[in-house]
Amino acid sequence: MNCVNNKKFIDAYMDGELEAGMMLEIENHLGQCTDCSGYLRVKRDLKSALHHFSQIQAPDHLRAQISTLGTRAGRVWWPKPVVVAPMAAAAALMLLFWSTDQPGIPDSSKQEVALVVQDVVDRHVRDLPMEINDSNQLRAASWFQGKIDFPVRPLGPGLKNTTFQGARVSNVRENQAAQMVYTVDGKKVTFMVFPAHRISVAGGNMLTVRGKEILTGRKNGYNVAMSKEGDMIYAVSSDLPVKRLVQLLIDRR
Amino acid sequence: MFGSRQKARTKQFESACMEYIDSLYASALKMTRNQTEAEELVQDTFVRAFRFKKNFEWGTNLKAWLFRILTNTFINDYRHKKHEQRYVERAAVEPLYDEVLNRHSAEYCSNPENHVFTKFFKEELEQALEELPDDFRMVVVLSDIEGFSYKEISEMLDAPIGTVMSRLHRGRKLLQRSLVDYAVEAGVIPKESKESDAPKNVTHLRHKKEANQ
Repeated sequence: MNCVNNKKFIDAYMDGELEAGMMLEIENHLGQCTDCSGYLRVKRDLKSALHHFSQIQAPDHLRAQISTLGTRAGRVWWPKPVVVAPMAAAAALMLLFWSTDQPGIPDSSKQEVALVVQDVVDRHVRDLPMEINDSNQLRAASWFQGKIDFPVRPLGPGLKNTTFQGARVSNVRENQAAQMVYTVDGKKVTFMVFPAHRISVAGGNMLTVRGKEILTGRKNGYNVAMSKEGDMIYAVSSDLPVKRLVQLLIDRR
Repeated sequence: MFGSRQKARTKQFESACMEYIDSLYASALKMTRNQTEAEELVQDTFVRAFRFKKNFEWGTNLKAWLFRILTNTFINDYRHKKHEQRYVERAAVEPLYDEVLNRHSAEYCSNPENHVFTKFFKEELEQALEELPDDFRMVVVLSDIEGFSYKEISEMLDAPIGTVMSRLHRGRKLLQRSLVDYAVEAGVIPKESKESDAPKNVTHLRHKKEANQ
């Protein structure tokens, strides 16, 4: 074996990834060639230096956040909406907003809301390519069949100034999610559908609009509106005003 | 009864995963080069691991399974966010450095006491690692920091073993070159009397290419 061949395989030799015969051949060469044995020493030194980076520890707050991912399992929780009857009646004619921080909601639940909002905003901000670019949102909704475990209902056709752009499979917290992207009033809007299973959401700003309970949040300058219907959560995110997002959820067909 | 057994198994799985949080974070930090993104990447990894725990077969390598999720998540969800895709054309990297490295290493490493990389250049090593193109950095991290075998890395990246070997070889060469430069600048390794025309590092290579255009 000459030096050129030796150098070609020296990484694999150092990593113990060669067959015994080849290992022996390289060893023989190294015993005779100070150039190659010096070269190997540099490589071993570098590998050893790199290994020191494995001693880095994860920060405590990250450890705590991840621990809560596990403890959430099995809890399915959505706050009982605060219903104000007179306002609900008045809302039959127009959109009315009523917002409050729910009293008695534990801080952990508020943090969880923040994480869901963050996830939804994150999916909105990340400009991931769509897996289906079909102008027909109903066809796109049927595309999800077999890819995710629940039926997907899009925002629906006929909404004012709303154009469907595409869809992709995504996730919110631990759950699969259908992500659909629209242009509304000239701005990008991300619509997410995901099961409420294992997602504990409580403690954000709750609105009661036309009898529908809507939770709103804001992260990194983007608004989020979410509603729970049955076992599913429907969320929209955009830099449009929250009022417009709520209207999209209310008008959803 | 069944439910409680299931819960215990889930708990066991989650505890087993948590044992690798430090390794996952250390690698995420090297891959993303950003603390916030590293934390997000690790969190996403655990979310996916918990969500797809049914896909994990007990008795197989949990660490490798988690790292597969980590690398896939990084490739699909994080790498694209970089405005600058750091890569070096294959042909341009291939002939780099062997001759120069060889001269330096032959001179300097004739003394086994000179563990220059571990003794003097940790910060420089960190910086050199950060400057590596993503594809090279990932295999270096998985092999040299985490100690995965070529086969495991090949499965994680869904790439042939030959590709893993090649990226590792090139990645290490680029690192060595950067560190030898530091060592020469620091006077630990004597400066070559005749300057080589070969590009010295990735930045130098880019400048050369830009100048030639």
